[in-house]
Amino acid sequence: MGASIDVRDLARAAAAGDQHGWDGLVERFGELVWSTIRAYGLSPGDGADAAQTTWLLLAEQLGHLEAQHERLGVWLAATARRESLRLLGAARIATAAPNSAPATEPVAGAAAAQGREALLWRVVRELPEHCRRLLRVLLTVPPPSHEEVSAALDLPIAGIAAAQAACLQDFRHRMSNFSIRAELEDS
Amino acid sequence: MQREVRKTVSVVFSDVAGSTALAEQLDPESLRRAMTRYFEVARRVHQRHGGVVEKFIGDAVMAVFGIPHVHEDDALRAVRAACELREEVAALNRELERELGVALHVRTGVNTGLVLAGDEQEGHAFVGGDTVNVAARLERAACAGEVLVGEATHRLVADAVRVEPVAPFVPRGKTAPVAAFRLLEVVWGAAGQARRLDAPLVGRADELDALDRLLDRAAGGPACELVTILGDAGVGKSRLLRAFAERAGERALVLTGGCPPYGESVAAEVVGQLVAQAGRAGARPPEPAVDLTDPRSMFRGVRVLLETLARARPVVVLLDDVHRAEQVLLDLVDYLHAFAAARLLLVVAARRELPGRWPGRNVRAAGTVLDLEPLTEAEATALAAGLLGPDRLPAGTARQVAAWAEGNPLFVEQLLRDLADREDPGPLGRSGSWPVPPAVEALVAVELDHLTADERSVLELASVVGRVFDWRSVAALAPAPLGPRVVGVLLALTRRNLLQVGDRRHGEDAFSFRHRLLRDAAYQAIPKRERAILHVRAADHLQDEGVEQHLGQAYRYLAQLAGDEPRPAPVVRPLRPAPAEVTA
Repeated sequence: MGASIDVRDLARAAAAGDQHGWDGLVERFGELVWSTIRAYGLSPGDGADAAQTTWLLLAEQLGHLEAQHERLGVWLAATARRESLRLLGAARIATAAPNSAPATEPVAGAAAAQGREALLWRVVRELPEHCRRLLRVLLTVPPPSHEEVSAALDLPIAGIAAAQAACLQDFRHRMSNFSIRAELEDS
Repeated sequence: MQREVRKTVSVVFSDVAGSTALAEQLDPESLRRAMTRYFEVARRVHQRHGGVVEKFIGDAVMAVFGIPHVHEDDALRAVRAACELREEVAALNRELERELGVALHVRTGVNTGLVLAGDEQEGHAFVGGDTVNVAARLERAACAGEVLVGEATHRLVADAVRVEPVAPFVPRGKTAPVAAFRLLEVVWGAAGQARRLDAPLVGRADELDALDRLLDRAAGGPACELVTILGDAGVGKSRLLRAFAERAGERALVLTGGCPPYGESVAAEVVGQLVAQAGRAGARPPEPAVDLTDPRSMFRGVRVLLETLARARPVVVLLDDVHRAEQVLLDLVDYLHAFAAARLLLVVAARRELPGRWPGRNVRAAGTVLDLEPLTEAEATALAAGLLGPDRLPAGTARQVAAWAEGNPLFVEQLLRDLADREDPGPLGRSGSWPVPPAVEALVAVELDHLTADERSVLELASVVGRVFDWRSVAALAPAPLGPRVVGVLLALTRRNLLQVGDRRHGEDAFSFRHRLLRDAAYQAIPKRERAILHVRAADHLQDEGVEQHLGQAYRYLAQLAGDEPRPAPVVRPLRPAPAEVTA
């Protein structure tokens, strides 16, 4: 399916007040908006606000965005980023938690399982923040274009592929260093 | 390591309302006697329907349908059990009122959903989670004597129950409202989701011709003909039987017997159906009467009955869902095939596991076997178009649905039903992005149940590699002791009809999952933590393309586990009223 044609049709339908068109846009870009917001480390509550605002802005401006219908993902990613930064500034969360790690750690049962689990969380948590951010957006379903990633994270398009490869390599080494495999063989 | 599996189960949660007041009313000893009898009733009822009483919590009883083994109709079993429990408690109350002057008022909640189930070898302890919580909350929201059914359960049993919706409520400690239905009645014998056997028959011309020819032969007598139709769940066996019954009805007496999913004696039930139909066809009841509890009497009685009927005109006996039958029905079929001297055609339809359930007998040597293959894509598209009706869904959908279902008519039917059930089917989004209909998910889960530990491990490893995979990749992923056994296990899985060997594109070292949904289900059953680890291992072992994808998947699951949920709560839909009136 040609994604860009889809999006243009959906946007036109939504602008005309067709609920199907709107739902299609939400389905297509819902996760991209959310990933972008979460990549900036907003709490789920603040994140929901930012997502809400992003979609509201789209609903308001969809009629005037005719020229950008094809690149609606880019517009949404950029708007989500702006809203996230605005909320972050307002709440000064950035200063309170510079390394805004994923919060919840599950309550594990047995001690051994807990140890293994803890290692896994550390792999994620200790990954450099720019990598967590990048992977968070890159691994969105459906996969975003590099242009969308660039808009979401304010990165140059040219560097994204290399950064992705480097971050995944880093992740892979960390997984190996934590000797996950040895653990698995033990069990 | 303890093996854990994600699986869908149905939970029945019952509690005695006002038990504190009851405790004040009764002597402790009497109270205990009353409760013990109630627990016995509950245990018996749940067991009868294949449920396991997982635990007693105070006065509450929690039963689970789907452990240790899943059934495709677990939701219906759970609802039936809940309904029957209510009836049996009413009967118990008549006794208790007489003896103690009290009655128990039971509230019940039924819910279906995903749980993380523990190893079946270690008992069936499983981690509760949201599915259980919601069942308990439905129970708490019910009035005395009421059964409240959750939305997921209702969808799976909609055609077998009468319900009325209750106002959705937000349980304590939850943010999203829970939809619920008050159970009024269960229609006994009805399927949870009625099959669309009225759908126009698509394809199957060759099969019908073959059946016609067999009937010709049987009509010539003197010996009985037997044909066994084997096919996957949902491939269209029942539909074919129905189509053949219509054709054969012109020149033969057609008797049909369907095996119920479970019960005290499936064979007795089926023979009962046949005898009743024979009676309606004018046959005198066999003398002496068929004793359904004594196989020898039953065999002989059925044979004499059919022989008598066949003197007037040829007889066709259609037996459906025979994979559910116990041995004695299979023996009856063999007996009739061997000894009935009549113009008789026996047609047995069953899933492919049947040959394995018929020990000491080569299904393929006895009589004729018809292998019912999935529909071609064109046929499935025609079926979908026929079922859709005009204007119900956007054009082009029929083709997409057919491709998704990979030629399985039941999957076509279920997906369409699912799409139609949504208030707003909306655009279909990315191809293949439809959620798997729960009834299909249940069917697929049954196929993956009953695997040995090795088989399950290998299948899961394979699912990480993909729909089509090279056995060497799976062997490379397997933990040391399993590695050398991988090929053997893969072949065993092929015999179980879960995998197929070879692939034109990928060569003879390739295996593939028979259906994409089997691969998806095997994959979904792996706890996310394990998925993440397996993807990293896959990236380590596969040096070629796909490495980044595996690493990406691994990271995605780890991040999700670490609390970074993949998807927000449903997004606002700010489009109506018209955009101009919306203000930020």
